[in-house]
Amino acid sequence: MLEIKDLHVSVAGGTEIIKGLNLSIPSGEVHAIMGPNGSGKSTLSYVLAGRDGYEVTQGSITYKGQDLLSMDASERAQSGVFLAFQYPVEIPGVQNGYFLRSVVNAQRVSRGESELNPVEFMKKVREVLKLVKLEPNMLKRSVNEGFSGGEKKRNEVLQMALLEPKFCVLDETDSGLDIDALRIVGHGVDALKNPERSFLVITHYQRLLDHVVPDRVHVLQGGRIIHSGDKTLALELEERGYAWLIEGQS
Amino acid sequence: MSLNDVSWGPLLNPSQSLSASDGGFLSKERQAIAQQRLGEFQITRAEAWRYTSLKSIQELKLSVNSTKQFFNWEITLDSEAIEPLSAEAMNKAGDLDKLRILKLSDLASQSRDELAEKAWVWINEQMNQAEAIQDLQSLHYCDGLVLIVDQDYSAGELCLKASSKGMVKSDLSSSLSLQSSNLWIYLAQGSSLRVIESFETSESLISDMQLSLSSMYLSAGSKLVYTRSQEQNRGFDKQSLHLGRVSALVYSEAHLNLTNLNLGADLCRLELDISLEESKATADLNGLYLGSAKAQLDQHLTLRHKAASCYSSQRFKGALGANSRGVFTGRVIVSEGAFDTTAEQNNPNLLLSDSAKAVTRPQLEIYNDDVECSHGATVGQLDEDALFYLKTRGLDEASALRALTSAFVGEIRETLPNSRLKRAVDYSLKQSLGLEFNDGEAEEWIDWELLLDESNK
Repeated sequence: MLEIKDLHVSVAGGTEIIKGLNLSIPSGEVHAIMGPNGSGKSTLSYVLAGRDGYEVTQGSITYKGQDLLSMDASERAQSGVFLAFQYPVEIPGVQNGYFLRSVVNAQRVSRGESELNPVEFMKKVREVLKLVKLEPNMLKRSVNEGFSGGEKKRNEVLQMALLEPKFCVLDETDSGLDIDALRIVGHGVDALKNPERSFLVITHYQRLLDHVVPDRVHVLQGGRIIHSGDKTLALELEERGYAWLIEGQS
Repeated sequence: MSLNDVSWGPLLNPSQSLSASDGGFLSKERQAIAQQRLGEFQITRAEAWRYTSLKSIQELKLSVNSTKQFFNWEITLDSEAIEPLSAEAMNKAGDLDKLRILKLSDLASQSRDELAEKAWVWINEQMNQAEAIQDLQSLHYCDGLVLIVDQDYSAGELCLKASSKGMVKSDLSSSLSLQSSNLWIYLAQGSSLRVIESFETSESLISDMQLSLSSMYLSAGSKLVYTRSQEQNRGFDKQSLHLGRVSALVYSEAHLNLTNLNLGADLCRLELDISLEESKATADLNGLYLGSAKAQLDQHLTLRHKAASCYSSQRFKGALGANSRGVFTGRVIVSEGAFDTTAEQNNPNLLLSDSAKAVTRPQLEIYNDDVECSHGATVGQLDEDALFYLKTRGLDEASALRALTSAFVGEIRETLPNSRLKRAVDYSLKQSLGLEFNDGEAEEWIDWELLLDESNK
């Protein structure tokens, strides 16, 4: 599904954030990335989604056999890449329902499918609203505007469920959630798991991984993956922190 | 351009001899005064015109007396066309509906009842004001249209288009039209009316200059919803200019709801002069100006709070693309006796290109303490985070830009009285973004409330 080879990324000003990252995520697998603050986790998510302002100076990202880096953000989305934002953006004046239907239809059209009419869309959106326990009223509000932290994250999962992407990046989707919201979000993501869909879950905490059980856990430090393991690694990190791994590096 | 360069160029010469169309309304003396005032114009009031370059006016090639001007308006009342536009037909419509629609020349020459006489006195007072655009109007006078609504009568919705068809003043070499229109709306006590006035360019013209005057009188307790849409062709091979002035006198407990769309013209100067004359008069003033190519859109608002307990709100939004420039001057004058005044002003601007410019000039002149005035002016660009967010959901660049700019104009677009005007806004917005407009495409606005109710059944 996704193959990252020797990836080097700098931000404007030339500071290198990612320094030779290698990662391979097969179809249907959930991979978690954990790591201390400033290790490059969010940069990785933005580079995968195609945000301007990051320069890939070396290496490659191959997604389903295609060169991901040659595609712009909307092309990536249309081919099935989805980023659940750590801080979902508020867009005043753009109605959530209008927005959701526009993006669903934009993706359908790009795949050569017919657009959903409002009634068909409504039927589809009702199902996923239940999945993330959001009220239909949220369709009338502006995108993320005035949403609580939990509602914003649930709206991200809602979009993921509607768009049915192939490769999902969850950038600290668990941050700022209380226990109940975490359960809803975790359950929502877990329900979307299938053999054709892969996940990259970026998180600080093990708790999301109780709901979305990872096949592999990687530790990102200083722009590189310094250690990988199975799901027990997350528990071990929770208990011991990162220091023992970082010291082992130096 | 230095102030001394400001002059009216060819517009300073009257269009034609008065007898052709004045119907006895204008005198040669008045024209002479207007001409003299305009000649002295650069010294007396150039500051208010600082951001309107008159260079393109000076370069106009007008030929005098080439054709006569005829009175011609396209009018529909509650979507029914009023035709033919003879004085008889219009008077008839008026008699039936307590809504009088007549030519200014007829008002001048006919015997007038008490209400018509009041309107007549007001029109004369207005025309004698020393305002540049009114003086220009005198020099290029063409018969006006007068609407009078009887006391306590709720008239429907009138759509007005000053048609360029009969008003072409053509110079064969340049095919330039000078279209001059003046509209007078007089609402008697407790009456109400909705008016949509639009300005377009006929396709056959190479260039087009429009001069418009729209004046309103809102007697106590009356209500006027006035939408004005300037949609003259923009730039490229056609040259289009618009000089307009809207003035309103709002009396006790009357309400003016005004929306101005500046969607076209290479150069548009629009003056709004709104006066809250008596207590509890209210005015909601909204505007959109959407610039593309090298358009210069200058709106100059003067709002006078003359009495106690009046309320006003101004919400003017600009979205400017390419090399366009938008100017908003919002002058609010609160008189000494105007206690308990509330005045809100809001002027956000969105720059859609690196070379577009927005000038915003809030000016508050407050002469008493019991006043609540707020003003907010911003000039910004599209939110990059929002743009990225939309793209990561699969919208292409153009669709994402459209979604965000539509959201910016949305609150004003939504209040427009018909879908034709909404489409005009959509069209201009796409021009501002430098995108092609597909004539067949229909912007879809879904009523989620309705849809949710339906799907609950």
